[in-house]
Formats: sequence, structure tokens, C-alpha cells
Amino acid sequence: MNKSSDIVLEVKDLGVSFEDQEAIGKIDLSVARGEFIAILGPSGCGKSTLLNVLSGLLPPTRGTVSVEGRRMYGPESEAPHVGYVFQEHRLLPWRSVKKNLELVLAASSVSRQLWDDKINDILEILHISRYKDSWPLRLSGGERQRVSIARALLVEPSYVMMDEPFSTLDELTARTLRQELIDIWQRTGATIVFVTHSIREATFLADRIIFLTRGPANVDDSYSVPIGRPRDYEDPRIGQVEAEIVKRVLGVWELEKT
Amino acid sequence: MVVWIILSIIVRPWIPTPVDTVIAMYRALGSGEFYQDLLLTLWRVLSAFAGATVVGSVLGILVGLSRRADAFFRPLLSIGLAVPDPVYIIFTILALGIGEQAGFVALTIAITPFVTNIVRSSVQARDLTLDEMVQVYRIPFWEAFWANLVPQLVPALLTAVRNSFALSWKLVVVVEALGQPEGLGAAIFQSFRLLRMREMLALAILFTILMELIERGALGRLERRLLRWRA
Repeated sequence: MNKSSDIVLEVKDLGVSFEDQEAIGKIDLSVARGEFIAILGPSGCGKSTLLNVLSGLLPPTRGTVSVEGRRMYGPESEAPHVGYVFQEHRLLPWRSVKKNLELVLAASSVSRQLWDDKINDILEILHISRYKDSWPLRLSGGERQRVSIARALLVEPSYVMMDEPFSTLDELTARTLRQELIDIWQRTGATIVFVTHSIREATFLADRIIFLTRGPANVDDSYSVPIGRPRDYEDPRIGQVEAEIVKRVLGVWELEKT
Repeated sequence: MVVWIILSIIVRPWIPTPVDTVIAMYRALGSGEFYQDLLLTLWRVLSAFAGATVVGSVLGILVGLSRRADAFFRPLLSIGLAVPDPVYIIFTILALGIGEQAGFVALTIAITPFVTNIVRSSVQARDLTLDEMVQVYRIPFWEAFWANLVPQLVPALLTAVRNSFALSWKLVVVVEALGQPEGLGAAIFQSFRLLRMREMLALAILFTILMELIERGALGRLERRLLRWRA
């Protein structure tokens, strides 16, 4: 895959301020089709604000965001089709799993004739076929998050954003889901922007890690993870990379002083 | 029951005994006049209840979603809630006469502020993270309205419906007593004027039982159905 020639998301000189408070200083970023990037930053650095901009919810104060070569937030631009896996599942609890998925499909460009097949396929991939007609509140936390991932992938998004999607799950469920996420990503070729503050999680999942500074966020560095796939969460090399990254960010996040 | 029996002995003849009341209820159930009055009153209750629920819900959603509408309607709502219900009834009868229309309008005006207030609070307390989800996935407004907003309001709407129904049937009796020649309220008032306390109490008890049955049966079933997704 020639990643440099197929840029899905390009952010240039992005800045966001709320009244007189700056939330994002300056972010330049580009994500290639099929790439898995992790955005790593300390709590409160503006990661959620960045995701709001990338999801079409918040126009930036400065700079541009282009998706598949088309400007977002222009006078005649349309919001792109994106998938979003939130920290909490954000499923509508009064609609069954299938109805939740149909709701987003109805707003996507996917033809209605394909809905059933696509829903069945994605639920099969995520091992939750048997919950197709269940109410979300009857599912476990991990199962709800699987449905949330299915929803994000179904709409044929330009890219999928994930905002610490496993942070509320127990460690074992989170590990299983991380591994499954990698399998799904490889199978579907989706482009993923994964926000986390777990260095090990970022190292295990991503091709590339973008480091943000303490808020207001600036891009400090971009780091290609030097470990091939498949990866093992307990692989000592992941531990080494994690230690290297910790050293690197300690100064940037100004944690050495505290 | 014991209190009733004691009171019927102390305050005789103004409070009838339970036995006398049951006999009067049995007689009422055997007369055609009772059913005519009942049907008429029931129709008035249901139409006022439906009118107030629809108008109150629409206004509540509007006020809950729009700051401008909130700023405009909130003082009116406070006044609407503070005015005693008989005032609405008397003024509407004075303005529109004692026809069917007056009763319907008076009841709708009296009940609407309660429904509006309950629905408004619920709209403003909705889960905004679901609104974000709906925006991210570009769900069209009306689709989001029916799929996301309205289901969140169901518990509040059910409370509003229950309040609206309870207020409707209490106020219908007052409206009929004050300004209608027919209906159970008019029959109760007529019994009171003729000092036929057994008949008055019998009609009131029969009507109350029927309203309770409707509320627990129909509304209870509706509630179970609409909230069946809860774990």
C-alpha cells in the first residue's frame, strides 16, 4: 500500500479556542488509508476537542481539516461519513442491537438491500450474532462496546475514531477486544484514529503514535512503532518500546517536575 | 371502613352507612341513566385528557429544546400552574357559555401547564451524549427526534399522562357540577342539592373505581410495553 499517496485525513495548522481559552494550540496531522494511528496525550490536553473537530461536531478556530481531499467546515462542504466508538457505548437502549445498527445505516450511503448482509457479517466478525435482537442493557460492557465498534464500521466510514473505548472495561475483556480490534482492522482495511493515554495500548495497536503536548495540545512528535505484526500484548519488545516512549514523554508532559 | 362506619353514626344523616351506599351503587348500576351520564363524562374526560396531553407535550418539547421558547413560555407556565383550576373553569364558562366546548377548553387550559412542565424538565435533562452520537452519524432531525429524543421522554410522558388523566377526571366532575346539565358530575351535584347523600356517594365511588381501573389497566399496560427494554 502506498500510504503517502492516499491520504484520508489531513489536518493543517489546526487551532481551537473557547472564548479566550486555547484548547488546541497547533496540530498538523495526516493519516493514510488503512493506517492505524494512536493519539497519545496526557489527561486534559485537548484530545476530546480534537476528536470533536475530526468528527464534524466542532468547527476549528483556525486551520483546515480535509477528508478524502474535501475540506470539512467549508461554506458548501458536507460532513464526512465517519465512525465513532465512544468511551461509553452510546447505544440507544430502547432499540435492539439490529435497530441501533439500522439507524446509522439509514443515514449512510449503504444501499438498503445490503443492510441485512452487512449487519450479519459484522456481528459475526465481532462474535455477537446471537445478540442481534437483544436490548443493549441486557448485554455486558464488552458486548455493548463490540456493538459500538460494529456501528462505527458499518457506515463505510472514511475513518473510525475511537476515544479510549476500552478504558471502562475490565483488563481481560479489554485485552480480548484489543486483539479482536486488530483482527477486524486487518480484515476490513479500516482507517483508525485511536485516542488513548495508555502507552502500552498505543504501542500494541498502532502503526504510528502521535504525541500531543500538555494542553493546549500541540503535536510533539510522530513515532512509527518498530514492531511487526502480529503482536503479543506481553511481548517484551512492546515493554521496551513502552519504556522508551515513557522516557520520551516524561519531559514533554512535564511529569518529571511533579 | 371502621372510620366510615363510625362517621356514619356520628354525622348521621349526612354520611350514609356503607350498606346504604352499596345498595345505592347497586341501584345506580341497574339504571340506564347512570350509563348515559357515565359515557358522557367518560367522553369529556378522554377528550380533555387527550387534548391537554398532546398540547402539553408539544409545548414541553418546544420549550425544552428552544431557549427562546423557554424564555417566552416559562413565566406563562409559572402563572398557569399558580392559577386555581376553578378560576379557569369559571372564566371559560363566562366566555364561552355552558356548552360542550367550554368544558373541553377549560379542562385543556387547566391541565396543559402540568404536562408542559413535566415534559420540559425531561427534555432539558436528556442525555446529551446521545445527541452527539446522533450528530456524528448524521441522523436526520426527524429520525433523531423519534428514535432518540421521544423515547428518552417516555417515562416523563407517562407521568404526564397519569397526571393529566387524574386531573382530567377530577376537574370534569367540577366542570359538570358548575356548568353542565348532564354527566356524572351534574348527577352528583344534583344529588347534593336534593340532599340525597347515599346517591351522591355511590356515584362518586363508582366513578372513582372506574377511573382507577382505566389508569391501572390501560396506562399500566402501556407503561410496561413502552419500558420493556429496561434491564
